[in-house]
Amino acid sequence: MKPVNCIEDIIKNYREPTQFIFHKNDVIFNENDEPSGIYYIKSGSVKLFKQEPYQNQRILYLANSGEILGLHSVVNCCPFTNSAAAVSETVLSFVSASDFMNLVDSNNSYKLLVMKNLCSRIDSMENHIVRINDKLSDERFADTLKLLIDKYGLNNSKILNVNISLDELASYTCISKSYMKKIIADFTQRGILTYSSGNIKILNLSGLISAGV
Amino acid sequence: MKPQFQQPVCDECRSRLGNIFCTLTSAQVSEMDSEKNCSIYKKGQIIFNEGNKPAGVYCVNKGKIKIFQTGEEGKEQILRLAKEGDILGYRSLISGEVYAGTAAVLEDATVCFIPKRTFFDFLNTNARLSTQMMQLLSHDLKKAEERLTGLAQKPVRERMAEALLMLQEFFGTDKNGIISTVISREDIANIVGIATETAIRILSEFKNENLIELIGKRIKVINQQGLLKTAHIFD
Repeated sequence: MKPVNCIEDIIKNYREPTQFIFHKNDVIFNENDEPSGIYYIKSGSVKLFKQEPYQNQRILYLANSGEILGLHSVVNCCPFTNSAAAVSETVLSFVSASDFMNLVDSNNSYKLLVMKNLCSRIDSMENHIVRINDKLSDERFADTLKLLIDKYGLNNSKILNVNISLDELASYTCISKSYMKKIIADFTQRGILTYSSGNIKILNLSGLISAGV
Repeated sequence: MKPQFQQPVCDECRSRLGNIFCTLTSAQVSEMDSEKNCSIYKKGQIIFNEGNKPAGVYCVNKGKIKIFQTGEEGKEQILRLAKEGDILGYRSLISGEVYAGTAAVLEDATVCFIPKRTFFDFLNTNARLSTQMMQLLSHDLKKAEERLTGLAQKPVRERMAEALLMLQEFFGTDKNGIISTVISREDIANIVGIATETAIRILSEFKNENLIELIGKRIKVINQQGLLKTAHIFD
């Protein structure tokens, strides 16, 4: 039996997970849907968001390969509290809610892994809350980029390994799209980055780090 | 002579019956009773500090507590409020991280400390407790998401109205309908995530609009429907 060090391993090692492929912007599940199960991101990236008035989205979390989706709704048997959509071509493994809960209930140590996963997601959410109140918009944008670099990495040409739109950047940084454009223009002028059609190229990483402080 | 502090008895503790420890077996309740240490904290005292390593969890027997993070400029952001029956410090203990926030007393409190070993023994041997703990964390995550969405999306007046309704629900009201706690303007500002001056200005606006009454440092909601409307919360 393969070792289980985190809750993601349970899904990854599950004997017969169903697999799905989602293309960029495909919706995986909608807020208020009944949770049918847990998704494990085999490859790709996913945004978790809440729908706001005027078709706006508020991105709460960006998930990468190796992470799971839908955990707290399945554990609490409550409708999804947010929507999920693919940011890039994404392959997901799926385990039904009842199979997952049977697995978790069969082993108390699995419950501790579920708890650890939830703790980490809450920490990330609360750090985001503090950032919104504590930092200026350009500092928050620098923080967003650092987070994206940590999560998705840069390729050999120093381009971020995820294609992300202006709307998505603005939503996750909690600023308006027009102000996002202005900040990107400012960062470009300062030689920190270039942005073109969703591709972000980091030219000066230390400059970016100091912009977030 | 200084009166002796009577340690709360877990078996008789009403606060315990409303939290996850209600799932403990009677043997576990006795164990918790002998392992725990209870202390009285005065208003303003710190229970634990952001960045410290947790050695156990805290169970609030009496009183009100705020949990906050301190920003880089030294400004507090209140993330949660706790009262009788609430548990504190469990997230850091479970994740094995240092405390992400500081817990400080808003109203004189009696808080019991349950050592890490005892808490994990319970979690490992009591399936009902571990299930409840998972559900509590899931609920915490949902609340954090709502808070984040509210902060990012809502204007400050809406957020203030929401905060006042939350305080009213959380602390309850006395027989005159006044929110049963004295909470400083600064703490209110730190809950809403705005400057103290802005909080004072909005409270004054709400008073002029006959939504609330300000009685010294205390607040009375006099137009619940109006405040709900301002907060854009509809029944």
